[in-house]
Amino acid sequence: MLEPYQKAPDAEVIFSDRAVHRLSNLWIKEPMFLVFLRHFG
Amino acid sequence: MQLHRFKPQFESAGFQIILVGLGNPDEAEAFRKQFSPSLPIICDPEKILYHAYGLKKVSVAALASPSLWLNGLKTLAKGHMPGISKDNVMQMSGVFLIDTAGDIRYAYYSKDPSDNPSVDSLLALKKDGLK
Repeated sequence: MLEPYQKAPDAEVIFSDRAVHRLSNLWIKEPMFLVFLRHFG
Repeated sequence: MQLHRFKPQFESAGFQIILVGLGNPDEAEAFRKQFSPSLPIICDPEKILYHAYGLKKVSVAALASPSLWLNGLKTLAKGHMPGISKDNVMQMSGVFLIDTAGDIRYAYYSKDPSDNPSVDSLLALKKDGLK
């Protein structure tokens, strides 16, 4: 389990509109809540 | 958590919100349009991010938790019927706040499938002091 002040895992990710971004290119703009869902539905 | 309704408050507080789901882009886009039109969704069908962030499957103990059943009944009482999912419904959820230096500043691992942090508790995490 990750804890505060650990480095966040970075990865290249694909969005629902099929755009591809690296997470670090997103959080560098402003603090980011990354919300993991259980499932779609 | 219907976070999309609170997007303006998060933006005013200086935060961005990005959702992560298990489905493919088509499934994620259908979900986004119906339930979360204002928030971007990352598709992680291979669970690469879920694993990297330490999110696990529901444990037997969590399934037996009284709070799970109580929260489920409360949800039904509000008129929210569970949808049929093609994803792994045993996946646990979680929320992380990452600052601009890439450091985790808040990590929430759901204790059972009905457990989520409140929007108020997330908004109480001030941007002040974050990089």
